[in-house]
Amino acid sequence: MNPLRLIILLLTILPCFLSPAQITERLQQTTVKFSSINLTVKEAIDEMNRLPEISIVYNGNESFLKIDVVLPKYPITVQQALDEIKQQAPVEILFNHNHVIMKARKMAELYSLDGTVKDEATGEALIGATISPEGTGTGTVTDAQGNFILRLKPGNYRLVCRYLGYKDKKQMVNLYQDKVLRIVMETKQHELPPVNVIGTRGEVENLERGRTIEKIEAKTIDRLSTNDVNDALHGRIKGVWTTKVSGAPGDHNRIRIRGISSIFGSTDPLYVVDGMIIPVANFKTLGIADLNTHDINSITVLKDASSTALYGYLGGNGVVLIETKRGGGETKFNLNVKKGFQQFSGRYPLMDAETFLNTLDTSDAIIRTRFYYVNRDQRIYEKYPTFRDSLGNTLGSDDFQEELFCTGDISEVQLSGQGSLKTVDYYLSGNYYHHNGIITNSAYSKYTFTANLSKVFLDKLSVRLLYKGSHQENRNNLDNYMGNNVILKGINFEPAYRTMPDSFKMKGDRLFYNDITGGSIESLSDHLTSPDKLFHVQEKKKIENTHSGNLLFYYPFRESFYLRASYSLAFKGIRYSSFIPARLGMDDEKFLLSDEHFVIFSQQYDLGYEKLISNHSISAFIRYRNYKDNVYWQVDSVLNVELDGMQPEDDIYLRGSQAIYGEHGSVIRAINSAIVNVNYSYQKKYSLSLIANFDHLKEGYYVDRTDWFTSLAIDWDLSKEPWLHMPSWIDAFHIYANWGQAGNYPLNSLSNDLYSTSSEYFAGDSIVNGVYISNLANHYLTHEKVTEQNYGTEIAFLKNRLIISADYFVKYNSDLLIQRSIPLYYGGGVFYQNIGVMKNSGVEVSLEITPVDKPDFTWMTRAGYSSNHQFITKLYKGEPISFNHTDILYPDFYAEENKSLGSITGYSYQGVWDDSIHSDQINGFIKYKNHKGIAYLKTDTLGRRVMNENDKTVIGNSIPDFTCNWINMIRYKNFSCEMLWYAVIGVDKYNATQASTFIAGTNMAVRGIILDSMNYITDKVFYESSFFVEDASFIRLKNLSFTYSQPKKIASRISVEYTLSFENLLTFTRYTGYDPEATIYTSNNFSDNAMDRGSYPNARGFYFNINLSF
Amino acid sequence: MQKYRLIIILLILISCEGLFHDDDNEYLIIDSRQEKIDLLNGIYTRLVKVHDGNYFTALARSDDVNVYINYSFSYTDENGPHDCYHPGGTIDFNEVTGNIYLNLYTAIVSINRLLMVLSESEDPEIAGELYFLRAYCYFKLARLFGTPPLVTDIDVNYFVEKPTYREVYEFIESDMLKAIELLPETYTSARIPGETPNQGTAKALLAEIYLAMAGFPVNDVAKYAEAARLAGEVIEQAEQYNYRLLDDLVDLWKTKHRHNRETIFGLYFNGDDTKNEISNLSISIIVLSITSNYNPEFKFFNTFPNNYRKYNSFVTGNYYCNFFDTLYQPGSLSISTVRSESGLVFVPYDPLVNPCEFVDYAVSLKWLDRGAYNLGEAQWDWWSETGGSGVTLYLLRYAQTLLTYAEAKARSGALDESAYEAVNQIRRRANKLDIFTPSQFDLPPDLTPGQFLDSVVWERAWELCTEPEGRWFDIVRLDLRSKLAGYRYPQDQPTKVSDDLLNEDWYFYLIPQEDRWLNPNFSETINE
Repeated sequence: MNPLRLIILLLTILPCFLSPAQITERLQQTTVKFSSINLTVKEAIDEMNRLPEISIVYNGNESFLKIDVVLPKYPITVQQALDEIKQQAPVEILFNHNHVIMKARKMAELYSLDGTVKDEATGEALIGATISPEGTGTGTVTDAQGNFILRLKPGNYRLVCRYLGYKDKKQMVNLYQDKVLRIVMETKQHELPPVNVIGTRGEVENLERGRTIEKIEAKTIDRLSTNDVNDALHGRIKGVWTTKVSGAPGDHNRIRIRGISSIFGSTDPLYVVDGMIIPVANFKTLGIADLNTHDINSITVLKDASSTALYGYLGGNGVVLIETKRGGGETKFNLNVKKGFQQFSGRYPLMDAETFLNTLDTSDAIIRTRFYYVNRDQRIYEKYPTFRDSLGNTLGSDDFQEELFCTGDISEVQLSGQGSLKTVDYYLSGNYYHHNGIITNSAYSKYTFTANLSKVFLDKLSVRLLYKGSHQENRNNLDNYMGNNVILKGINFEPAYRTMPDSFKMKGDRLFYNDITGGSIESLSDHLTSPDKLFHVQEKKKIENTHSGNLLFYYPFRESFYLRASYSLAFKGIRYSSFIPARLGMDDEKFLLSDEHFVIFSQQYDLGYEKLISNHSISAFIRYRNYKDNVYWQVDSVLNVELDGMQPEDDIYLRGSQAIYGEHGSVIRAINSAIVNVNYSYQKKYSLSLIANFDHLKEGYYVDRTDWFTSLAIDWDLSKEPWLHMPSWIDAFHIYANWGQAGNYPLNSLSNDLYSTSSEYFAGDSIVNGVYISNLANHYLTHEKVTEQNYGTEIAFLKNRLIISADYFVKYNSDLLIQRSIPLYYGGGVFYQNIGVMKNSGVEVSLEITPVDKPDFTWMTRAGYSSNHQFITKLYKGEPISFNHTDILYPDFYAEENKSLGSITGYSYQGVWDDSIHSDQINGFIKYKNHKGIAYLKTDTLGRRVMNENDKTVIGNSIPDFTCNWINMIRYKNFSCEMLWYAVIGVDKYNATQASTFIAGTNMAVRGIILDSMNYITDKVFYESSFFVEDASFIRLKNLSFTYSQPKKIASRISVEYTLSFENLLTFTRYTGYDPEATIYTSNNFSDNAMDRGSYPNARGFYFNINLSF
Repeated sequence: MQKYRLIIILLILISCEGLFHDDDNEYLIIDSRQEKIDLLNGIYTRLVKVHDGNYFTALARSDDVNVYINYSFSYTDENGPHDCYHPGGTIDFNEVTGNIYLNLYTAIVSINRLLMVLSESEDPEIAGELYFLRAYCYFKLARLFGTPPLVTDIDVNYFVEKPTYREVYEFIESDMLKAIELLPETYTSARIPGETPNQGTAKALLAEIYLAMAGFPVNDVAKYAEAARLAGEVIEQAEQYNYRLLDDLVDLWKTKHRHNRETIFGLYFNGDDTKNEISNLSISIIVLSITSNYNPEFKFFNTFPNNYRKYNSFVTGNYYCNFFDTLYQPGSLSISTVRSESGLVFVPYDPLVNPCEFVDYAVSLKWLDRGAYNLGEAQWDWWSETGGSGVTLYLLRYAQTLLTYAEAKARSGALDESAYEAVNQIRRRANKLDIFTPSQFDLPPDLTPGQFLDSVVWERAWELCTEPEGRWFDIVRLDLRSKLAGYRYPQDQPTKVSDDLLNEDWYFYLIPQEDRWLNPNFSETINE
């Protein structure tokens, strides 16, 4: 007998002893645990047949045996398993005697799939979500109750459910009978901008693996005390070094992502707002200052060149992606009102009028020479204790430093609404923001309006239309704070001075004089340049108007393809105006106007592909981008301007309005890019991402070039490797590495020759226009190249309660733009050449802990550390580049080969010479005593008893060793608290503000020096010495805020939130100036950070905010 | 419908081109004639800038002519005082020569740029003018700096080779020959008739170039014949080119005669416009005084023949007089007048009779528009904006071409009557006589060539004194240092001529320090 036959016989006979009831009982009692959750029907039956006393009979030729079914991982009863199979495959189950027989079922033509789509968290029905089975070309949309019905042929489907603002949900459905489905969708709030359907999703989401990408969410941004988006980045992201350049209202932060990548080029990152590229150079284009922070949904920072390769010529300094809020969902209105105050208490020790005059007299007696910084005539005041001069004019005695400062205040009103009207989703928002600065007469105001409309056409084509408009006004508070600014004026002006004689008169805000017989011209200028006049008479304004619009399309087709298109257009007009009254600054009445216009246009088309095939996931897109920008400027100067309301008897200087001249220019730049991005991942264990960007750049007359930018990133999740036997408390353990290239192309059109158009020639009996090349450009200029390698790891422990991430990067900035003098035989001037290499390496570590995570109480804390070391490896012929060399009163700043960037070079001050302490020879140096008795460290060994350029050494480093941040977020029931600490450590600064009070002779310290008969304040070597170099490291409690959300009691539909926040509440520093963080603003990129020259300090502030939602 | 609406929106967006300010890059492309003309005018504005006060300071090295630099004008730093005008000094010449050099090269850069986009067949007269101007600029550079870098492009090159003297002149010659070829043949067909160069202008200039080339430092004596030929052509065809001597030389210095037939190449000014008048160049009056940077050189002054030309070239006085009170009024000046009430002493010119130590001032009267301002009536601030002068700045005038002709003729061994006649015309006019009628002031007809040449060279010195193309260039090309060493009064302060510092290079300024730093090919060491 055939043994096989026997077995079959036995198998058929054995169950015969059991009755059907027994079988049912048996089926319900026996449990089965399947080896895998994905099995074919045949495999499942075979596995069940292996169980004792279970026999499932089937015809081996049936087609249903090959159908895949999904079975639970945990043990279930056989009955349940059979039910599952019945649900998922077209089978019928019969009981014949003791057999369980499985056979094919007759199918209906169509089965219906009923379902609802709901929000995962709230359980709200989602209206208008699209549900489409992949590959069928059909689909449906949920109704007002979130329900949908699909009628489909029997078979296996993968349903894709999409809804704006939610993660796509993909679900397998085996449809062999009518079925009810409940789909819950997860919002993307904590992930990526909800604009994803047509925003930058493809880019960021797919790039995330293997790269360092950081995000800030709307919640944080909404709570900023000032309406400045850059503030959100301040201290919150590791590797992003932000300097709050000044506390001036409306002034911007300076953002450097992973250090300074350029010496003369731009160091500002590229901003991309809703997919629109907005390059910023010296805050000079459509910056993000135009944005209203309340409109922003998220900020994403791309730090390494491997991700910024997507932006080619413009990505070298990192990219900040900003997504604004969008409409839809529940109709909601939001009103936010804020009021805040700022106070500044720092002061330099200055002399009062009496001490000042007294000091002059005493010093005269001692040193028997004229103390030349001070006008001698003023000594006369001391002889007139009532402060009247010989002419009988009243003398002033003022504490100008006190007058300089006042209490600043901030007011803000924000109103927004969102929801859906018919099928159009809308978000509308308006904002008014006003900030009076802590320096008298400086102010900033901003009005913004945003509209965001979106609609889905024909179930598939999503269209989104955005408009953003803003109006900004900056008064007495231009970005450029160099030179004759009010702070320096205020603290340097002699505290005893002559006041305005009666022959002067004020008319409105402006000062006129109609009688110049009252004194000499010098004394007039004294009166007019005194700080109180400067505070009130001179007026500078910057007015900016911005309009920008985006139109975005998204269209999915076939199974896994989509098309995306976006068009952006933006305009900005800036007008700088300044009114300088006659004789103020020894000049004629002057009205200066300077206009700049920017136009940016870009269009972008993506063809994308996304597919998940069992363990392989692929996403890719091909992109064409056309970007164009245009800068147009015009400068006008009106001398002797005719002013409104002037009378003919007013001074001649104020009459007439002749001399007007204008200069203008324009530069157009166009970048066309073809980009390919491929991302592949296997089981989410191994990921690989590639970018290839082919850019074509055309600018002005000479530049027409193409370049490649490529990048590669790999990621490996070690925790998913079974052979590594990771402990179970490790949730994820990624290690990754990436490499990429990007560029930094100068925005300032450095490749176009400059023509002077303002000269005139007398030809043929008339004055004619004369034009000549005033400064040649480098016609072969190219972008600065950034090549970056990054190695990192991210480990999550204990159910993500503890996350550690660390990155190490090495960045080479080659072809650095270096300014060089043009030989006079080419007309002189300066231009830029691509020479020099800089190496920038650093470490970034962050630690995120959630010690408590309960419904009523959560505490999250995050600390970050970033350091970077900047090293110049090559310069042209090794020639050092010096900055500020011509300004003899301040130290020099050099970029030198094989040295770190940002060193301050000057004389090493060693104190006043003391024989008991100082000896001549120390460690190969000479301690040199100058004739004023100050000891300096000298390197020159030639024995010459003078200090000269050779004796300068490095006396400070203006780039911080590292920066740290520490964020705490605590929520207890309805209360929450956020605290942000920020520290910049190991940075030196030349306190030029302090130095200026020495030069002016108003500082209390100078008094001591004068009285000690050492008038070395006139010594230029002294000002270039380390005497004024201070350690500007600081630790600051940048932000502390408390929020109380009132439970919905007032009215069921209104929720109220109160916030009290403090800014710069505590600062720990050894720096003696006003603010260790504020710096001057200059055209090069590191001497500005190294100097404090009358910088506008950051104030301490507190703000109260009420937020109403209904 | 929706479809169409979308398409319309798309089209609107894509056609955003009009929003860009494209036209404002006009000068980068230079495609219209007006733009080319604007650039040409720009070159003239640079030439005007070349001839500022510093230019005359630089020429003031021409010791024996009118001034020399006062030694007291020196720069002091911690290493001690330096003679800032001496090439051997550690202080660079930039203060004085830097602007000349830079402005000439700024003009050259614009010329080179324009030549790149210009088609010689389309705009021959503009191309010709450009070649002419470039040759002129390099001619000036060659005579001041010896071997200036030769630049013909606009792509900055830090390593331009240092040329030889001959290469420089050959370059200039080739440019000028191209200019002659391209420029219009008559003055009426020039771009601005009577003002912009025509063929005659280029020929007259080329004659000057050959004259210089025949002398130091190239010493190509064969070029004298060429110079004579070209100058001869200009004189022969003077009618066609519209050149002649003015009857009264004082008319040269009057605004109302700013366009005159004696000008071959000049720069024009609008006396009414504060921005564009010649006094802005600080040359309308050159004040020579012991206390200023310039000292009058008594020997030259006193050997200047007493004639109409001299009265109208200089006025002198002593230090304390308010000499502006007594400035010349036409017809009233007398050499023997002593105006005691104002303290002015005019010094008689015979050095044997009159000691020269009383002379503190020597003031050039050229460019002072005496036709327009009656200076006797009111005290006149010579720096005031109201005293604008529109006198033409002569870079080459017909009188010089006549003298060049005479000299070149004699030096090429072809001394003839026409050469005598050319010099005599100048001499007759200097004495306010009819130019074409023989007179007592004519040169004796039986001079040896040597004597004749001496007379011509001095005639040039007197005729062109204090003008931009003055005596200094003659000193260089004729290598007069040894002759001049003993040519001084004891009263004249010592000059460099007697300081034994003259050498070949001394004739030329070093190119500015910046360029010597930037271009190693020019970084010669300086002998202290």
